[in-house]
Amino acid sequence: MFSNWRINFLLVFFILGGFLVIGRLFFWQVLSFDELTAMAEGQHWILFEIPAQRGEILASDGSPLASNEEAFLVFASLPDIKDDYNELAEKLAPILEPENVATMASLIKERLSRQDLVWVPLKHKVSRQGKSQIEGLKLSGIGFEEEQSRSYPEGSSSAQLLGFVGNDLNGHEKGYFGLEGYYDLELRGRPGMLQREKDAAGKPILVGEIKKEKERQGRTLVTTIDRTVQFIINEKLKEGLAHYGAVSGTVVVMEPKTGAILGMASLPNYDPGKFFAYDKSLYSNPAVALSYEPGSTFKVLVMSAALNEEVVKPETRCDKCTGPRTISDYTLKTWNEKYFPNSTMIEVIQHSDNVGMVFVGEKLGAEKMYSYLQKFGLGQPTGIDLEDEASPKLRPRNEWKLIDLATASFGQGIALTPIQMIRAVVAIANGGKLMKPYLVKQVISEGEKTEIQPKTEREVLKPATTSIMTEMMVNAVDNGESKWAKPKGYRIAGKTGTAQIPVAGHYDQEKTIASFVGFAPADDPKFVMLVLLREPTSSPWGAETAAPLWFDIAKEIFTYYGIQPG
Amino acid sequence: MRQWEEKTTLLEQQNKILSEEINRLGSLARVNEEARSLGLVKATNVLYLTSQIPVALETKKLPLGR
Repeated sequence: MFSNWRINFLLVFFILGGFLVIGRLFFWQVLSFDELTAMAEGQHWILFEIPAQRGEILASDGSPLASNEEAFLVFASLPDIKDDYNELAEKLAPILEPENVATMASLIKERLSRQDLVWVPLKHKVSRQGKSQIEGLKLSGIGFEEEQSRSYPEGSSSAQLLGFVGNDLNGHEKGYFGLEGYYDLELRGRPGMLQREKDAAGKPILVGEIKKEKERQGRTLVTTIDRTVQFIINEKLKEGLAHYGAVSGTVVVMEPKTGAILGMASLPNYDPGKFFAYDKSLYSNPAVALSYEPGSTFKVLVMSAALNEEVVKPETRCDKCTGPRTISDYTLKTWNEKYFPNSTMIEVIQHSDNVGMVFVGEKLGAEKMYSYLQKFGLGQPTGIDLEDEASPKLRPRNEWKLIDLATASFGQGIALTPIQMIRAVVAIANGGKLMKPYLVKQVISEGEKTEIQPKTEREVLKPATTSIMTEMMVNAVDNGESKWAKPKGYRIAGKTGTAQIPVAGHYDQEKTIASFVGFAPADDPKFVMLVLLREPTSSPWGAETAAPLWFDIAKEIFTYYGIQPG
Repeated sequence: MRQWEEKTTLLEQQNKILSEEINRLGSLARVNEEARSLGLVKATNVLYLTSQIPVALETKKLPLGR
């Protein structure tokens, strides 16, 4: 009886023990399988990331606008350092940070004093010359790791267009603004992975297994930018800003048949290689992000719409142009308070007659005017391949009052961006097609080339309308306020603009945005160009600032492209 | 084999350095600066030759009285 009890007890004990062992095994083998497998992988394998090289950004001739340069991470292996930390910091700081030696020296000392680390980074992106200088010091415990740094061979001339490469919150490289920002995913590529078996000390086993996932290099972008045009507009804009005392300026050059951007420059700008040293307000590209009231340059769009709808003809006479117009308690005047009774539409554009344009606006009517503004692409982004594009909204049609129609007719009370303005004028230059502006014409990915074709968004104007409008713009250049600056022998179609700047519900009485938009040669345009100067001080007028600058740039473009007079 | 690999690495390194040098030297800003330092100036007035010969240069005598 007693022995039976003991046997039963042992039996139950072993059964329960067996269940516990099985239960524990089930826990490790089944429930914790994934976790333990991952732990084992981590103990057996060592993982290296193979960085992908960032793609280049090339000009249309293949020369680099953004490229990569070899650079080095300078690090310290603390157990191997034999020199005194202070002495070491004093030697390294002038090479690593010549512009801020004291701060760099204290940073090096602080990092070298870390007791909890054996390896500390001292400085990223050190140049090859810097590396050679440090090697010359023959310091023990100082090493180098190869990395890439972004370089911009043309300097700041395309800063806002290209953007820059900085770091994201996790310390990874990331493109910001311009092409670097818009095409960041394509440019950065995908890093590869190298897995090797390691021993108990954590060192790779030479004869061990190797798993490799190849890196995918970043794609190279071939842009439509003609770097000579880009250089010309940047240099001329620099001179123009100084000559006319303007606060800032933008020049955009576009190919009318395709919508390709040939050049785009804004000043003041920054060095994309040292973006951190500049004010953040300079990063965004005014050519696509600046919202402004266009003023008289807008008249060519309203006149084109009216001609296209056949509500006016070039010889139509304005019977309300004898003096100022009063609409909804507002008095509308011409820019110089000179009036031209019975002037034709050709003369209205030539004199940049606000009252004449109110007449045109009334003939067109708010409904059609609004429809054409939409057709010209206003109120919606152009879709250009640049980060940071703004798109000022059009006020809803049902909120338009009589005064809105009147002021919009001469380009006030309506906002757009420079790229929207030039794109609309391109439609006049190319026979009526609204093109999608673009900068990248080819993407090269591991030898494979993908062409990006020009895109026609819609037909806005009839070819006959654009021919008439072109002649009116040629007449405006030949006989308008800026005729004195025009290059002799060339047929240029263009229009000046002087817009007041809205400030807190009213217009600033002294500050203006002067602009000139036009194309040449008028009969077979090779380029359309917009020049915009903010707050010029030599004269507030577009005809005396932006227009001469436009002609000055055009002269150099004529020479460069071999465009002859006549 | 090892020697070939080392040579390849060295040549790749040199190629990289030369490419960077080409980029730096090919920059239009640098070329412009260099041209100025050599005393070159921009052409201010460009003359184009036309295929039509000016009347004054024609060798054939014009018939008088027309």
